Amino acid sequence: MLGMYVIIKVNKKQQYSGFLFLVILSFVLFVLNLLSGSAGIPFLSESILHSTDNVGSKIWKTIIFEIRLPRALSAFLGGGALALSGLLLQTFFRNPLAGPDILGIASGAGFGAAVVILVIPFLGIAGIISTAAAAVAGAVTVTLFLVMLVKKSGNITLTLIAGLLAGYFISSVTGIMIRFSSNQAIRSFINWTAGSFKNISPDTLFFLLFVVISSFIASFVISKHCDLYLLGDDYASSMGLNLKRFRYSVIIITSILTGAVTSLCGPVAFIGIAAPHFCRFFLKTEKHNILIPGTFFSGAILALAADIISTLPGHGITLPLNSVTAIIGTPIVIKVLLKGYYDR
Amino acid sequence: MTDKQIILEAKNIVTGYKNNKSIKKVTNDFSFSVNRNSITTIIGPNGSGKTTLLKTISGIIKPLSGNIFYSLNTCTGTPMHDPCSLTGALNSEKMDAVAFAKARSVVLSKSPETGMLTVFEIISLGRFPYIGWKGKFTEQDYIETEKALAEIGIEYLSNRIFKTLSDGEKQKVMIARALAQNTSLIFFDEPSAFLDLPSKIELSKLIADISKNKTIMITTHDIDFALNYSNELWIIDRDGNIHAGTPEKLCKVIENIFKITLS
Repeated sequence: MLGMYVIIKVNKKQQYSGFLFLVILSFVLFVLNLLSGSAGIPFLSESILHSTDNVGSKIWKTIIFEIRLPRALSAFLGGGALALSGLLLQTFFRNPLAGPDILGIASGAGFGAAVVILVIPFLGIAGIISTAAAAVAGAVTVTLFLVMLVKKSGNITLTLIAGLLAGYFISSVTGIMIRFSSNQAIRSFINWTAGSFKNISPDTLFFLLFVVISSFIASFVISKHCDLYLLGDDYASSMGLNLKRFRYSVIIITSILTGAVTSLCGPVAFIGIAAPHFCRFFLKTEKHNILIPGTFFSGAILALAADIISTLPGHGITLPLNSVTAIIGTPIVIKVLLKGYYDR
Repeated sequence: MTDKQIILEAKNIVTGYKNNKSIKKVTNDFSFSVNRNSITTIIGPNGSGKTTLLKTISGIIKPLSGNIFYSLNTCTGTPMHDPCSLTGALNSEKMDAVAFAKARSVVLSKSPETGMLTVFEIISLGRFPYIGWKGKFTEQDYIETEKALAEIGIEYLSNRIFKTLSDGEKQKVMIARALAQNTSLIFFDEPSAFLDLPSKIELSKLIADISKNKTIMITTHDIDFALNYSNELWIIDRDGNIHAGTPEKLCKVIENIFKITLS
């Protein structure tokens, strides 16, 4: 009996070091994100951040604190939120290929956001919150549609394909709808579909922070429920899981996360599906009380890395974020498909 | 505690499925009582409704009519005099999943796909009904998990990834998990359906062993098991009628339904 405890502790130690690695990597990328951008800031020269008399240093300060810091924070929070949403969906559908973008949930959120943007042209905090609320409503609608499909067909693969198709369908409707609006709306919509972490203001950042923290706590509370749910409906309910309540919790959390991020940063693809696998690769576990924080940091890592690459340091050109996340995410997902993430 | 203490009884239950459009009856009106620490085996041809009956009695699906009583305190799983109605709780749509998880556990024929969960982690999930909303295991939960591992004799599998085990080992893990759930009643739904012959025999012995201090209800195609190990035998015929009795009494019925000759 004693021996077993020792072995379990060794496993835990490996997981802790893997977890520590993810945290440190996300922190390093966060700092790199502050350092990189179209304007070269000579961080290494002495006391730029301390001297106030130098005009150049003032501009640099402004760039760092008012442009790059919000952008880095929104990449950190947005990436983590999408990753968490992806993890919960993969557990919910018991399928490694689930994710908010794959299942069309992000498209639903985008549709909701687009409707509000067209109806309420003003921006500001009320506009942002109503946009986000509409995005959450869109996400909930798509998720409920998928749950209905699962119940009716009992076939997860079919549901994944249906979700993918629903995503295309909704995006097309959104695209057509936007055509009937002003030229400026069309342009900003096209920018929005490319995804970006830089359109965020301090107000919206606090909103995102609030959403992410509350969803994170909520998902941490149901982490054991998630483990149990993996055993299948019959086993899980026979072991004391209230299936209905659990399903609604997951639908609400994932929709809020996807809705909030999509309305603020656009439909950022691939982080939701790739980050949970990235995390499992380092932590080698399926226990959600470890996976949930681990996946959050993995999502932050992928988003920060993608954001750094998309700004192409030193070239003054910005690449579309979604292209970069796809280029980073696709190999991870393909590796999962080929190797099977269940293998050791 | 006498041997004849009743732990489970039902009055006029009819099982089946119903949705908005239609009602599909599976087994006919049946009343029964089950004694503590006994083995009740349900046999019958494919599609006769064994699994439906077992799932109804264990509270996974609802009966079309009738009442099922657990003579158990559903909060603690200990026997008590006033039976509480499972059906009543089910019909009120407020079945407390946690309370029932303390009263009975279930082992199904198909083992789940659980990604990278280890054997120890899966067995410890049997403690789910006993942990609070924070979802944290106590020392007691780990002790119960290790006890369950030891009782089935699979300590050596503890740190293996569940998915990498053989089918026989997987079923043993699921049984250990049921033991960790610490219930008086365990329901088995064709536990050896996907096992090879040696594993089947091993599993039968294991179940007989467990029945020393647990009440067991099991569906199976294994007539040998039904005749040799069960205290009470239920046979479902093709019309959905249930014949209940001791294995000795029911030999004729078995010969009729399965069209075989028993030596």
